[in-house]
Amino acid sequence: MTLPALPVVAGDKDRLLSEALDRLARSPIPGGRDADPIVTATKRLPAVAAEYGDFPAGTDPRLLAALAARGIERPYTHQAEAFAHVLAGRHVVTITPTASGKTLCYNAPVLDAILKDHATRALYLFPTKALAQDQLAELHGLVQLIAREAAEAEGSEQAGDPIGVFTYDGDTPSDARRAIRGKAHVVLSNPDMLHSGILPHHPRWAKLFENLKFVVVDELHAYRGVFGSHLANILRRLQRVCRHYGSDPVFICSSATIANPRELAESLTGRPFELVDRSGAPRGEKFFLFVNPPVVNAELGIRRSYLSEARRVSLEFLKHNLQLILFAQSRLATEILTTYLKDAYQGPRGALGGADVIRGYRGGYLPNRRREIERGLREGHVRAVVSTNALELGIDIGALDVAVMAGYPGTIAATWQRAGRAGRRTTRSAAVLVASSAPIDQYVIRNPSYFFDASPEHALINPDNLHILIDHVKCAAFELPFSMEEAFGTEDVQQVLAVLAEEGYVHAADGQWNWTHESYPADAVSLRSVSSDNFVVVDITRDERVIGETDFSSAPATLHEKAIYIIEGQLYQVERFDFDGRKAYVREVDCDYYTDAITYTKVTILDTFESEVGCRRSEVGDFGGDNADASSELQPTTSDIQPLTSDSAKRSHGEVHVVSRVVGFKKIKFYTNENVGSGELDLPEQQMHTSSYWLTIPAGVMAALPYETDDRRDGVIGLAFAMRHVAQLLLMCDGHDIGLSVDGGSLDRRTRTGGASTVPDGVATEPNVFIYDNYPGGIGFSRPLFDMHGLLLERTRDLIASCPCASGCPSCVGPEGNTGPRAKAVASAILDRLVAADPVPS
Amino acid sequence: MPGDLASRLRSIVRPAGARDLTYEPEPVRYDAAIDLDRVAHVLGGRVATNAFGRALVIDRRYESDRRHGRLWIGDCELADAEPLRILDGSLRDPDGAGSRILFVDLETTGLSGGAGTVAFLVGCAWFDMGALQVRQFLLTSYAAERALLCAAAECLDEAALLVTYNGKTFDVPVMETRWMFHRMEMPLEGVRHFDMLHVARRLWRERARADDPDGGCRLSTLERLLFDVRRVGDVPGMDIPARYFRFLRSGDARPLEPILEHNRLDLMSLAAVAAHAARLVEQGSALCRDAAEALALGRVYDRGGRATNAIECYERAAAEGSTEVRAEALYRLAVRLRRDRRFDEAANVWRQLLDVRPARGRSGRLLTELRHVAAEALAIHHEHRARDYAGARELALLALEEANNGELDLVKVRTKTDATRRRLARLERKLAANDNTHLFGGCVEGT
Repeated sequence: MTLPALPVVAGDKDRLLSEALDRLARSPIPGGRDADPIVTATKRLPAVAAEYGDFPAGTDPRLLAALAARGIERPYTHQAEAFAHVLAGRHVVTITPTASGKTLCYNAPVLDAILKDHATRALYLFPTKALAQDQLAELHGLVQLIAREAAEAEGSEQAGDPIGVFTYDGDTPSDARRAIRGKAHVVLSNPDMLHSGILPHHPRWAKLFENLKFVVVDELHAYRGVFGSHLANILRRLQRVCRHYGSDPVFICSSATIANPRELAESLTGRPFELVDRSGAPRGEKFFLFVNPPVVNAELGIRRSYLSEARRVSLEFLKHNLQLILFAQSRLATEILTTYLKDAYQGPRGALGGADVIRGYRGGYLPNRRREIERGLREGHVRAVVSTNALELGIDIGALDVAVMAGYPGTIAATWQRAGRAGRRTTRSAAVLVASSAPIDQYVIRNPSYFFDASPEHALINPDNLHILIDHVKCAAFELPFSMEEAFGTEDVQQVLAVLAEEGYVHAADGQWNWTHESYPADAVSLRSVSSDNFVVVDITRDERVIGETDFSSAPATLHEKAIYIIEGQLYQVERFDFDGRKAYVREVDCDYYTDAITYTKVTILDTFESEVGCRRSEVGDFGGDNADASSELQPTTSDIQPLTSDSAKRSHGEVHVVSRVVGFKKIKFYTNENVGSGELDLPEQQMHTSSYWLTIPAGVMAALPYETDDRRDGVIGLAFAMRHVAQLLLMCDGHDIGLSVDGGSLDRRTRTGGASTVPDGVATEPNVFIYDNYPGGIGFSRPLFDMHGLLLERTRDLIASCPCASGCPSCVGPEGNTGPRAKAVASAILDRLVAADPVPS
Repeated sequence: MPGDLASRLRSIVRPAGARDLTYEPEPVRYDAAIDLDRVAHVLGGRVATNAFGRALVIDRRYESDRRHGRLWIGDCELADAEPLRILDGSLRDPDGAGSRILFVDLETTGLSGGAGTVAFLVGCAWFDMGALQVRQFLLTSYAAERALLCAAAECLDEAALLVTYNGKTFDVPVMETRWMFHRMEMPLEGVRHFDMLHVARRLWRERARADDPDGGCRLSTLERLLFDVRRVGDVPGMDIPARYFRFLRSGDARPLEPILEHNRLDLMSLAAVAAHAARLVEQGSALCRDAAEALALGRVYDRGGRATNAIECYERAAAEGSTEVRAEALYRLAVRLRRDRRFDEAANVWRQLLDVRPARGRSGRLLTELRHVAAEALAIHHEHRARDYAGARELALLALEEANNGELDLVKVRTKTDATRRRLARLERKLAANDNTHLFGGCVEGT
């Protein structure tokens, strides 16, 4: 069985990888300075040997035979553990690194149960359709093996009834749906389809729900924020329907490494979970490199383009004949990098020609093309793939030699996921992170221990956000009447129903709440964006055609008149923005700039839940009342609290009213990011009630600053700019999940001419920096930020202090042109005093 | 969002500003108990008791001498299902236990389907001794749905043939959902189903559209066009759910009477339309009111494999129709004849089609397309059957010309003309071979 050639090839690969890494680590810095190293960290992760467990006694022999035929004689410890929990009827969540055989954790117990009782049904949920397709192929293969093993074991042609495995999603043809409802033992779907296509039609799925033994939620970490809050409610609805049909399924979840997998699983399902977090899968040696593009203009803090740097790094590996995946942050960047690599890569001498060995991969490619690329990667003739996060999740592309990330993926968890795309079980692999100039990237790249040593992020959800909850109570009432005693989440659902009854949605009679409305409530709920009320983008260059859509809240900022709208590299200019008709008409243009909207945001405190100065905490009751949004100068909370020291900052969280309006825009030149023009806009304002964390900078700290009013104002804005990015880092959230506002004050107000700013003029004696949940009703970020306040300030200070720029750049307090010449100095001075007054206990 | 939970909820559920109410706000609390016996009295129904409880049943009988528009009810009876099988080729042979042709129409709490869409009124009708017997089952509370389904199933079980209007898409799936919701056995399992909507579209779509461009082929439009039925004080369909919800809240059944009447009229018209369609296929083109209907009926016969009847209809339509109707009738006639291998007659009809000219002031887009097809077909006929290459060449050139006339889409023109160009090239070769003394070099473009 041993092939003499193999070790040589493997050894050769290891040597090539070492060579490439050496060259990268030693590479001269083109125009850079020694003080600012390109490679900021090199980490070696040693190889780990496999640890095996045993399949539970009584596992169906046909399943065991099929797995053995796949080369799986014994399960890894985590697989065995998960299997045992499920067998005992316990809900289980498994965290395991990429490529550790996590699908077996759910496929094995599910198939085992189906083999033992043919009536058994299972529902698998994946965050995307592509993942469900991928898993379908995997499961299909296993099912066929089982059929073959069963036939052989019985020595006959007949292998018993086949196990039906089907995807059910928006792409499923309507004539196939009826058959699937009857035949599928395992239905692979996604939350959106469960929400709008399955649950509202549960009577047609009676057979599934009566026999539903397992619900698999894969890629659990993807369900955070708004999406996760929706899923939690969908799973509440699912469990209601199951109760109606007399079933009580076991949940089997798998997640990438996050800080709170069990808590997330429990809040998504409302059930107690067992956690399996020790992987028994083997892993080869891995090197992790952090690369920071060199500064090319120290004054402005401009670094060499991270895309060019990612290209350079990738080519180094390609030259060494190593197969790699290059992750880009956007579809646009994906296309640019694909072009770069195709242009530059000639292939190793005498090897395959340059054309099809470099491929792009992103959402929007047709399924056939995607499958072809995935196959090319597995078979090895595709040498490099440039991808968006589309390949971050578990699509099977085999194990590659190197993963390069152009830009920090935003979270520790996602970074490990992407890094895990490289690495076989026995050979060496490498992951390289190339930082962009965004503050988050710069923080991570200059503080490697944050990434390597700290725990990964918490995934947060707020299923009882009233906006989300109400939508799902409507859906649930449509599906089944609510009884007068029934609970749904932690809020009082009976009260929710009473209010819905006032509006005619439900009616109480005979001891239950019945749905009494013509609508199909699931249609009005969009799981993945803030509002289902979308704007469509209409291209009028030739005929009118719809080329994209944008959610309600970001439309004014991205689709205002004269805005540059970019899709797949093509630039369009908005000619007309029809706010009432929810449409933007665009025309193709060829220009060298993009636009950035200027949004004026005003936050008014309505209700402070908690407030603390230094180490003293006080619960503050309602003070806002119904007239709370009357004045922007409202700051009544401070008077009754005496700070322990004058430099201690006050932190608070509570409910706020946010009014935002897009007042103008800037034209920013591509590549150089120069500001080349601006315009004013008059758009309707948007309002919402949400929750917020806020920092109040003490008057004493402000007064002690040896700077002019303008500079002090700039400093607060710069501080807020940096703080927002650190908050995003700490919260594991997307950039648009949180909003930022700095309040002004009546004092020190002076008039500024021209243009508009994100903050009002002047600076308050005690300015507040608000970081609010950018979703009506809040999504649960404020309280955690309040708790992490000390860390937030310290990290923000570190970010600004360690930035090599002279007086502000996009990586810390914002570009100098935007924030003023002393913003960095003032922000640092404020933060130094705040952190010194309340040091974070280590 | 300060304040207690209820006011926070209200601020979300009821956004500020004007909004359309789906019901009339009433000052009283909506906990009116619904008295079934009283509702039965108000609506002229009776209470039927079964294993699941009590259900409200409303019976009405319309004798054969009663008027429905300009029809008598007696005219609306279908003797048997045979003519329907010509109208709908997928209708199976009769089988099963039931004996009735049963007309069914639901009134529901919404149009979306799904678990939350309830059929609050199940209307059934059948002919009994020449009279139309209508039986309606009304849901008086959601809790009584099983009793209703059980009562309705008894009536539905009598059906040998189900006749509906859009029932394949709507009524039957809704019924399936209701029975499955309650884990009860669905009646009508395996019963033949004739959906009148599809046939009506084939026969009268153009006429209905001319009358009401957005109405599709609504039953209310057809009953007026075909039988001059004028409803007085009818409830618009879109108001029906709100009216029913109001009854659930108030317990006042009087506003339901117009819904019951609406449902009964729908059932009557359904029977009338089905009978009319059946009579049309039985009697053929003679019964058609005009050339357009004859053309539509011809198409129906054609689908049903009744070639002789189809040809008769097409011929009448070609003789009496407007330019468009005549052109399409000739086209279909020629295709039918060709399929029956009556090639010379078909060629004759193609020639007639080539002689049709667009009416003044009308766009001749469709006509040009048909003329293109005719020229192509004739060219084929002349090349392969008549072996008249010169004539075929002329016709192919004409086909090219028509293709370029009519079509704005260049890709489509290309696909159409490519075949014709190939034909031309081949014809030139054949002509050259037949007559070596002539040279045709350079006269064929695009080859």
